[in-house]
Amino acid sequence: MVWMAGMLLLLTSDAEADVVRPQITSAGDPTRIVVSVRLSSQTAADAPAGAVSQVRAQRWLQLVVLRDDGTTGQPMFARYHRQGRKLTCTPRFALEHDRVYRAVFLQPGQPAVTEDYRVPRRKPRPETRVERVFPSTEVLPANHLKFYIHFSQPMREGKAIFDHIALVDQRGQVVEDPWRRTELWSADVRRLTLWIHPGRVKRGVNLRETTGPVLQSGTSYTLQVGRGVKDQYDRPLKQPYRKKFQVVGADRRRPLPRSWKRQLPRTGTRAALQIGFGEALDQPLLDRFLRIVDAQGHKVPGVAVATDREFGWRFTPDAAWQPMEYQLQVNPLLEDLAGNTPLRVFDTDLDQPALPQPDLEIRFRPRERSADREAFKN
Amino acid sequence: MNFDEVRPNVCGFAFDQNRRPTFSVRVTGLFRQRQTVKSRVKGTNMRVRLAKIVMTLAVCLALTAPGNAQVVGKTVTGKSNLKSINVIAFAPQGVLLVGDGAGAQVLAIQTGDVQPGQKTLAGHTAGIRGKLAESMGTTAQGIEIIDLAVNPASGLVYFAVLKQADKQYAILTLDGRGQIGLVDPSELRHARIALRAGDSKISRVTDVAWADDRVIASGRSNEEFASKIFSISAPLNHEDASAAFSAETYHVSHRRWETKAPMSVVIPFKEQGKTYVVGAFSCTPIVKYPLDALKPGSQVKGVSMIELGSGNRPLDMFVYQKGGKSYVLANTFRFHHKRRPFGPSPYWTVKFEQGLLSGSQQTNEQAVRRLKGDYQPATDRIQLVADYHGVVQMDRLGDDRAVVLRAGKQGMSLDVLALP
Repeated sequence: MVWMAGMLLLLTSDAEADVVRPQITSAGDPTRIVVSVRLSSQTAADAPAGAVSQVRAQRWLQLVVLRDDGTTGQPMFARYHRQGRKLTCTPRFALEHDRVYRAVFLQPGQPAVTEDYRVPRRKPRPETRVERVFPSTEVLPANHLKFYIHFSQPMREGKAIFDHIALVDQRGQVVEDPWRRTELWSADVRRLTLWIHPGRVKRGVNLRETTGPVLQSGTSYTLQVGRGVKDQYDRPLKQPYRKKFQVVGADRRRPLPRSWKRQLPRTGTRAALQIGFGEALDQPLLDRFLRIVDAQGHKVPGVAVATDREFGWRFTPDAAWQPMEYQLQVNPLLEDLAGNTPLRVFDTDLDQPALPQPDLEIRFRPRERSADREAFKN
Repeated sequence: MNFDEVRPNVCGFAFDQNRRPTFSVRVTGLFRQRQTVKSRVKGTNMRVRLAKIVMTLAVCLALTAPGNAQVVGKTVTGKSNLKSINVIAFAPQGVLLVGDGAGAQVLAIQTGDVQPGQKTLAGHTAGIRGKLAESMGTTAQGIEIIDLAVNPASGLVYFAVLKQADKQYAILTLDGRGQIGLVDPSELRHARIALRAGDSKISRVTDVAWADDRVIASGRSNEEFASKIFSISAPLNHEDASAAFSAETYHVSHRRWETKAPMSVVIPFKEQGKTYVVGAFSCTPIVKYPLDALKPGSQVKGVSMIELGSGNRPLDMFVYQKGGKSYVLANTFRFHHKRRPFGPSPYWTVKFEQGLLSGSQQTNEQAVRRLKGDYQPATDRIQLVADYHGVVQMDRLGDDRAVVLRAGKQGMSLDVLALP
């Protein structure tokens, strides 16, 4: 009886004797935590049950970042909830690895009680590097327009990246202000489209006339991506990246499908259709702007890859070629390295008459017999 | 944004059989609504009659004032599917427009922030980047401030912020007491409108603006050399699609017509009752396009009115009034700063008379240039604003001030400056 009375007394006692230090828990992911405190009865009565607004709840409980100098910052945005005397605080944003946060419990008439939480260091990840750069070719036209730089991790965004990517000529001179400083990232922030400023590429344009073109024919250059380029975790590149290339004369011809060479597959096989362009085309646009359709106009499922440093394209169908006429359809937005499309040269003067419209649908039939084996043909 | 022009026209007046004046009023303004009100003014003396006429006119104006025209229609709550934030801007009624390039969409959020006067920022805010960052659980280095916009309905400052480590975007606010707030689109009513450009893939929204009765957005691709203007008619309905246009523009410093150059900044502009979209491009023509020419699939020809000079990229632009005159304030980034600086910072700001956007004489090849060949000013109607050197982001705050984010030796600071 005495024992039971004691238990009853303990269970119904007012909370001031309870542990008041904030409790910080995480369910696996150390960057996602819940902070909970036990309010006094009186305080709990002041707080609405269920969701509590941050403005109200942070009178009692806050989560703050601890700065390097030991001072604390603004309260973090969080969702608060009260159930009984338990008030929980769930940050709206993930915490950062290797950083200290402080939960601050404020009770009326009592000193603040704090609990620090250090998020563990991130598990070691491979260092970030440039995986590859398109175009792959090491010979570029003097009016080349852009590079696609592929990184192994998502990168830190911000215009400072352009300060760490340089063009250096064969004499070791850095080309001044070559880039259009507009960040154009892929959705996963792992590919940067780096534009040479078009105003220095187009003929007769003031910027080119006063500053000069970026690339000179007959010169070799190195594209340098420096270690100052950082990933999303603010880590520099493992090592700088360099791509050397030679510059030849400007390309002011449209890529015309009629001039492309074809190596046709055999009927009844899944051999690849191979196309040779005679020049390098824009790699991502090859993925989007070439397709094969059958005699009924349906897209033919299969795998398409750019080949030979984007000088070619190979299409392997999922099912065997049928004895019918197919079409290679070319989107008029397809570009070569100088931004020329089948419809127009990049720096076309719109006051001049338009060029003849090209044929953008190339018809072909798979070969019937092995005796008809053909080399690349138009 | 100059969206509050409403024109009442008294289109009929007569005396009834008892010699009492009656009149009808047609009001044309936002959203091209026309309302005709007939009023029979009763009263035994002229003062009372005039007072009642004025009251009736006031009612007509109120019916078509910005607060009553419908910006959004069908909206939803819940997950916003926001994939990125490139730009933010305000439409009337506290509707925040968000340009999301990765999602190829514009989000229109009903913030509910429509009470004026309580929250206006007054002065310098040091360490703004750190303050915003800490509210997200990181430090100043851990975020990028992408854009800022002031809600004209309330004066509250909004920031679009990217948390670098986990690529989380957030919309934060700052009020006059220094309090930071969080705008969570999933908890507010919003509408998502897709930006479809045919075969072109838009990956970045370069600007978004409210223009009379629609949203205008400009966007560009991260692959092909393509850019588009998009128009979304009001009311903005969830899962509506936009109409896309190509624009032909005369680049003054380039001395040629272009169809693919991307527009960096967009604002609406009114001239003789007609609304235009004014766009600013790199190198740096200011061009106007007639809004009523934006029809689906069309190619719209712009008229270049001003040339700010090559080697620059415009960032923000807005219209304001001072001394009874209209001006445009535009800040730019000078990528030729090392070669030929315009000030101590590559970020510089210019003020020009809005009247330069009007007329048909000095256009295209004859457009007004800021500088002569020797880099000396060519006109006093376009002026460099020294007080605004270093301004990276800005927006108008009320009638006589601007909120600016400025890059300085101590890092980023937020200031309130008088409009020049």
